Amino acid sequence: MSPQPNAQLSLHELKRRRPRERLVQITLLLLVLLTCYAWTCGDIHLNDLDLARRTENLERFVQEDLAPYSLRDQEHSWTDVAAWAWTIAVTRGFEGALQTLAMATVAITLSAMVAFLLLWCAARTSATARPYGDGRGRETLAWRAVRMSTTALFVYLRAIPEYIWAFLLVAMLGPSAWPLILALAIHNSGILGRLGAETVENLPPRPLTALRTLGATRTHIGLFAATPGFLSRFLLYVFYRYETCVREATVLGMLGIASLGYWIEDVRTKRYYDEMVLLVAMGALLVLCVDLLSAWVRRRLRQAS
Amino acid sequence: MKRWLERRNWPLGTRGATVLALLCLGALCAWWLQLSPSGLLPREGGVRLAGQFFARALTPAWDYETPPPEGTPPLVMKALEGARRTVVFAAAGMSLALVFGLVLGFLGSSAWWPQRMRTSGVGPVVWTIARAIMVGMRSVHELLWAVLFLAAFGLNSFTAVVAIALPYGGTLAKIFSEMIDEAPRDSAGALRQLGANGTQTFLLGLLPRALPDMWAYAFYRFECAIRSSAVLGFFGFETLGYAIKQSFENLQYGEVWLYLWTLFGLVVLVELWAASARRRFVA
Amino acid sequence: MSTHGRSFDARSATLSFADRVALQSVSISIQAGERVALVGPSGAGKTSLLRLLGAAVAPTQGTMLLDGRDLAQLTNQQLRTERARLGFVHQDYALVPNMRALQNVLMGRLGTQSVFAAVRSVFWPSAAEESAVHALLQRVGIGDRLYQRVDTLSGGERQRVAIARALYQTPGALLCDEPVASVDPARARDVLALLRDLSTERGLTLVASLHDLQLAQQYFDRLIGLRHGVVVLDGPVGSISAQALTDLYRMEAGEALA
Repeated sequence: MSPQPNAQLSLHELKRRRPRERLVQITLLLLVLLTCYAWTCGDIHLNDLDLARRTENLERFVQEDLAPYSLRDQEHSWTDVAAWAWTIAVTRGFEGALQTLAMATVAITLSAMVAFLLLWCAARTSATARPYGDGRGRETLAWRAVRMSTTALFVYLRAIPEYIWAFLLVAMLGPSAWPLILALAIHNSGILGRLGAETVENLPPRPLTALRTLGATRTHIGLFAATPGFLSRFLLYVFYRYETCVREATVLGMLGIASLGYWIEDVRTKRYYDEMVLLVAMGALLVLCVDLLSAWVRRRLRQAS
Repeated sequence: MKRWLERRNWPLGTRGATVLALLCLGALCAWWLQLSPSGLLPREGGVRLAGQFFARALTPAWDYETPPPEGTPPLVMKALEGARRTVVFAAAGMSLALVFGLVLGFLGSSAWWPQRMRTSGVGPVVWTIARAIMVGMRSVHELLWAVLFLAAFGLNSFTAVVAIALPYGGTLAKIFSEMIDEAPRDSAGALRQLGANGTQTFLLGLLPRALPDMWAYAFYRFECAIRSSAVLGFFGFETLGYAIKQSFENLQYGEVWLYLWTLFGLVVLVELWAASARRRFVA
Repeated sequence: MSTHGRSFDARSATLSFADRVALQSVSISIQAGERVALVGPSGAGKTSLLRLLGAAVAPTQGTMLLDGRDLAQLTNQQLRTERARLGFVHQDYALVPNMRALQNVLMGRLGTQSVFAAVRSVFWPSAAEESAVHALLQRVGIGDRLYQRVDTLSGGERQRVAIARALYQTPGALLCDEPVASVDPARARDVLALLRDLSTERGLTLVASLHDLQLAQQYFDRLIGLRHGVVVLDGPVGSISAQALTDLYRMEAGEALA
């Protein structure tokens, strides 16, 4: 691939033979073309925007619709607004937020457990006839099938968005907490499974191979050597997904499940936009808190390893 | 409280404690929500629905189940059209998100600011504002942004694009700023040593070190944007989600599976593309 | 082709940081064209001294003169111009791995270009720039690696790219931080011979830090020995006694292994 070290190639020759990253160039070109296409002939109606009318709408929305309903016809101050906001928060916001948080927590725990069990079947180093770099045997078809099917399963689980899973499950199980939890758990199992399998594959091979040559079985190595090594990384991923789970849970509730999302959808259909904005803001605040918590845990995990 | 937590020597090690805490928390939440296995059993009509639905999983419909009105394009074309719109919204949203992400990412990273502006003056102020905007943008889910814009502007394809661009821009900005701050700084140091000014050092010495990771992450986000774009269909925008919702409510499960498999194919295609491009870019 | 070599003059220069003192009242004078080896145990202050000579840091006390000019009197802009004419080869080479050798070497002239011109010359170099870089890479022995990405090159090749980048600056001096620390003996001699020849050809002042005393005595004209931030020996290679060198590296009682 690279020219012979002792050949004195001319500059012209070198330039002609230089390595070109064709795939990257083509990718960039395709992406640029796709973007141009999307903005010009992709049915994104910018002219539909009719700026004058839309600005009017926006002004009306901000000034009238967003003003708290119960205070609309009177003179009110910021303390009144605060009191109004507090009422809504206490009656619906906090409970909804807690329900959202609880469902997201159960979902992430479930997906972590499922992913933890399955990822060993997808990692190239553990799911083979000769695990952990034993090197003596050849690849068997059976193990290959196991790996490929597990990987395919992970891909399928995460290719379908959580919202669609939830939509389907609500139709079958009714609007309870389970569809939301299962939808999140299914989707995130796929993600955590894949990330976990990659982590196992990227573990430093020598300690594990050493154990293997001493005669340890796959399960022994998995339990006692590989798990501690990859657990830090895996937990980092779990907590990173935790924040995303909470974000999604807020929205999935709009399918009729008792949570913050339910109340948002409720006031949306009633066109109480003032309350809707407040509840959305509460949702954002919830996500922010979980984000801070997740960041703290991740920092502790990094320090410990 | 925070410092107390940080100084404790956890028995079991941090990892063990974290696992335990997570499991306990999960169990606690499950108990508080009064979850019971009975909730997993489908209700009356649900069993039949589930049966009918999953029966079609491997046999998606290739043509309409009930004859459509005159002039309707064939089903496969409808699926492809839905896919096209999904990709278009995702691409437009991502391109806007990239602009937000790069601008806010640079402003919100500490490595971008020259040494003297880092601790006093305009620097920290703009940095804080940038980070606050980032957080605000990404804390609201794209569907919620869409819902807000629907209320303010009504149904319009541009609102779908902005609904994707805002949270994705915020996430990109945050991750980009972290990647820039964590990039190795040896080459930047070497450029400073040979007399380059701040901008040159950043553009040629620091940014290229972070660029492979930034590119990989942006591509991953594009794949997520396609999913989000599909889901926006449930709210009235004409992407794959809209078709799925319609067909499902009309009990035409074969059509639903056709759309689902189309979405699956789309996502897998983008993922394969991303994986190969990422490999070549890095090494 | 010969550039006027630069001279360095440190007068009672002390370099201290928040937690330690790197250099303690160091006074050395290096003339144009000299070949100096800095020797001493790890942590003695060799890198700090190189950075001081390279105008990367200002002394906490004392003065640093470059070609007779006091660095403390210069503005930031002027300091950048001075640095642009000093070639520095870092210990781990500090190249941009995902760019080609050509582009890395082209970055050598950043100190004398505007931002726009710099970006233009690194990504769209003219034919003249390309052949100049090619000639330099041929001089250091890796002419055919011109268009290879740096992360596909071996350690020795990367070092030569780093040397070429320093040469592209048409500097008056070459400052090298541990150029042969992680290199096998045969390669080490190659690199040091290259540095010595470059110094002779172009009239460059050469200052390099080394562990290996034999190599230092073989390829350099003058030795400066540092220990705990203090200069303990300084003189032409022939005049340093073996005893003085052993003392330099002697470990004191209780001194931990580095």
